[in-house]
Parts: sequence; C-alpha cells; structure tokens
Amino acid sequence: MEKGNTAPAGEDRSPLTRDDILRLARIRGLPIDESDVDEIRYRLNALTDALDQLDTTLLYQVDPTPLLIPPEE
Amino acid sequence: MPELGLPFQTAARLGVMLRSKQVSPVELVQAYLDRIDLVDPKVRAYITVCGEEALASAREAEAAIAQGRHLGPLHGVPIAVKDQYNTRGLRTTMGSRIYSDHVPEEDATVVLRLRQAGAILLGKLNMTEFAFGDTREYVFGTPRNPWDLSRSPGMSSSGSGIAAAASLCAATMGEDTGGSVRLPAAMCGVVGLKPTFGRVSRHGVFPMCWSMDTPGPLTRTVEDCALVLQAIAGHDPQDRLSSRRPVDDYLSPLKKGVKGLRVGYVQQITEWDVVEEETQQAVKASLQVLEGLGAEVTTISIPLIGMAGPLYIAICDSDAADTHEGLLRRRARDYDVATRTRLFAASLLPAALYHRAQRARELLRRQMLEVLTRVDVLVSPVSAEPAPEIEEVARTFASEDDVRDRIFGARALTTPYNLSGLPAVSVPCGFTRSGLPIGMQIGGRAFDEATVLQVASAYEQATDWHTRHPEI
Repeated sequence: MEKGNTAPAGEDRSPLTRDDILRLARIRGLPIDESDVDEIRYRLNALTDALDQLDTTLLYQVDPTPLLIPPEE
Repeated sequence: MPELGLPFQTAARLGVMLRSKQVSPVELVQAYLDRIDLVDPKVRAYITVCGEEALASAREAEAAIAQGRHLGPLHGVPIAVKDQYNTRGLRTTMGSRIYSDHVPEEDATVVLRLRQAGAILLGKLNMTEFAFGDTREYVFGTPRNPWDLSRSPGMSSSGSGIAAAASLCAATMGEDTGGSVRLPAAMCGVVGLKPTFGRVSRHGVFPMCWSMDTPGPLTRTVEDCALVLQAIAGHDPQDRLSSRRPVDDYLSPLKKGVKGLRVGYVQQITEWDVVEEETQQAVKASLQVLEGLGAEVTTISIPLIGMAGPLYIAICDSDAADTHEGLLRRRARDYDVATRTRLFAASLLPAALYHRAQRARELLRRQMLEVLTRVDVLVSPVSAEPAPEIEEVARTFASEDDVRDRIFGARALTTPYNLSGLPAVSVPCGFTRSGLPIGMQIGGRAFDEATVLQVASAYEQATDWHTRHPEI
C-alpha cells in the first residue's frame, strides 16, 4: 500500500554541536552534565546519520508498526 | 564416577545421575558451591550466591526423589539466573547500584517454572547495568572471560555465559534483547538460545525494550538448552504478549540430523569487512560440516540486514529511555556513564526518526520471513570478533565514526532476530589461534525452535568444540 508521506531523508540535517545538546537538555529538563555531552553527541549524530541513509521510497510502503507476532501465528 | 568432576557434567547427564541415585542433590549442590568458592573470585560470574537456600532445596529434592516423587529431567539440577529475573526473597540488582538492595516479593515466571521442574537455584548472575551492552564500571565486580581473564565474556548476560562455560552451575538463564544471550554464549564457548518473541514469558524480568526482550538459556550443550526451554516455554497469563500456541517437543528432533534440510547462508553479514577473518572461516567451515551431513546450503540475500544495528539502537534505546526516564532524571549520577549517555542520546532522538526505524524494522522482518519460505534455517556468525579486551570495551567513544565502528556493524549480526522476533541459537564452531571461542548463529522461523535446535545439535554431534573446558 502506497502511503502519502514521502518525507525526504534528512540530507540537510547538521550534526548536533555541544551547545545544541545542552540546549536540548534544558528544553527537555534532562540533567545532562558537561562531561557527558561529547559522548551523547557522538551517539546521537551517528544514529541520526545512519537513519537518514534509509531509502524512504521503500519505507513509506509500510506502516511503522512495532513487531507483534500474533499469539497464534 | 565420570572422568570429569561432577560440576563439568551436562545438565541432562546430571538429571539421569540424580534420578538413578548415582549422586544426591545435596552432594551436587555442595560440589558446585565448592567450585564457586574456588573459581568465582577470578571470573565474577555471580552477584549473589544463595548457598543455604540451595542446600535446603537440595535436601527437599533428595527426600522427594527417594520417595519416588520425581519431577522430571531437571529435578535436583543446580542452575543460576541472570540478576534481571525477580527472585522471591532474594536480592535482584539488575547490575545497578540503584537496585543494590532490591528484594522482590515474587519469582519471575521463568524462575517459578524452573523451580516447579525441580531445578535448584544456586544464585544470581552478573550482568551489564540494566542489560545495556557496554557497562564500564561494574558495581558487583568485573565479569571476566574464563578462556582469557583479560577479556570480556560478552554482554549483557555476562555471568550466565561465564557460569555455563566455567561449570559454576549446570545451566543458566540469560535475557536477549539485542544479542545478550547469544553474544556471551559465543564468546564463552557455550550454547545460547534466543527463543521466538512470545515463546517465553517476560513476567518478572526487568524490561529493556518491551517488543524485543526475550528470556533464553545458556548451557554447555544443545540438549541442555532444549531441556531448559522445555521447562520454561508456554503461555503465561501475566505476560499479555506470550503466545498460546502449544509448546513443541524440543528433545526428540535433536537426533533427527539435517539430511534434506535447507540452510540459507547469510553471506552479506558473514563475509563483511567488520567480521574478523578467523570468524568468517570458522562459519564457512561449519557450513561444509552441515553439507557433509546432508543439508542443502544456498546463499541468500536480506537487503536491509546490514542496517539492523542502527535500527535496533533507535528502537530499543528509545523504549528504554521511556522506561528509565523517571529514575534517570532523579539519579543520573548513579548510572554507569555508558548507560547514562546511551539513554540521554535516545531521549533526544526525533520521533520521526524513531518511526522511520520502525518502518525499516517492518521491511527487514518481511525480508527475513520471505527468505525463510525458501530455506529452513539461516546461518551467520554471532559476533564480528572474538571476546575483546575488557579495557577496549570500557573505552569512551571518541567520535561518531567510533560509534559506527564499535556498535552499528557489530550489532547487525544478532539484532535482526530481535527486530523480527525470530528464534536464533549460538553454538560453538571453533577457536581462534589465540584460543578464544567462536560462535555460529542458526536462526529459524517463528516458533520453530525445534528445527533451530535440531540443526545445532547435528552440528554439535559432528564436532568436538563443546567438549573443551577453559582452564582457570
């Protein structure tokens, strides 16, 4: 089934900086210490970059359902 | 008396010896407690040993067996479970200082079923904090690989892998959300099964990701794995997502061999540049063994499988961030730095990307199910490399590339089965030149653990990897 949403991948997304992480933490009220910021930034940037590489034309042919094997399957 | 001491025997063999009164449960429990005293300080498999309770249970089992009230093949067999399983009246820490004094009021369903089968609980096994994969400072001692004490035993059911390999109990239970049963099994040289999602109850197991958490056994042989699965599988009204499908007989197929079975070789993640050469060679040699036994091996393709690592991290960590949000806000500094930064990163992931990962998961699942209409099982490595140095695992991430190299590639080997909910087993398939175990992964169709174990058993019986024991 073809879905209407064909949102493009985030080619324009810039990697998050240390300041971005601290700003987001303040907005969300997360107690992120300065000493943790670089590692959080590396993890999040690597993840968003990987997900941005997915081929969205294929992805939007399916629903984003979490796996649930029906009990009787 | 067997050639090896009592603790080294398989659970199946011990069950026979107990039933025929060649050994008493009390004698057996004491033998394991003595070995734990001797070996565990070197490998730190256990967080808690409940010796007195185990001896009391052994005396009860001894009386029952003497009176002819035999509960089955696990009656009187000493086991241990990952400290992620609730145990009534016995400390359950999740490997976290936050839960260091937590004493549950009831058993997890898996623990209860093992007790009902007559198994005797020796204690609770070490694990990475909250079952996350890369704890840097262990609150209850650093678990060490019994084949090389400077190396990691694999994660997150680290103590379960160690205890099975070092014969610190007859069988263990771990929990597999992204490879946490199969990785320590591969790195410690034992058998580890992740059943189909829904085959074994999650009730009383501390959650990491609600749609992937799967309890599974780690044992010294495939037969022992089947014995434990037989005892724990089945519907549980306390786990809404546990299946009502009847439980198969897992033991009978073990002797059927593989003649005529169709084996799909997942070449793209076996002959991948992230997978070390010795591991690739060991898995390819194992395929030749299966072919020699009469299996038909064909190379198959699962286009999205190489993306499984980041898909898993996006979904699992986002779910875990929800579970931990309250605790994380109140007690962030009580978390290990690796757990904390992983959870905070997931807390900041845009929802649109989480949904994109869910779409990709559904596509990957469809691809795996389609391939499994053409073959009976899939074969690939469990781990990209043998057990790494403990210091290497504990190293802080230095860049985005470091995250990609150390997490995404490695996680693509085990996580496809978590993302798709399908069963997979790790079975020993060789050793590196430096003496570290290598594991082969055999995956199968939903609820077809019987065939997965059948193939693993045929391979095991044709090789002798499982007969080796680490010298500690």
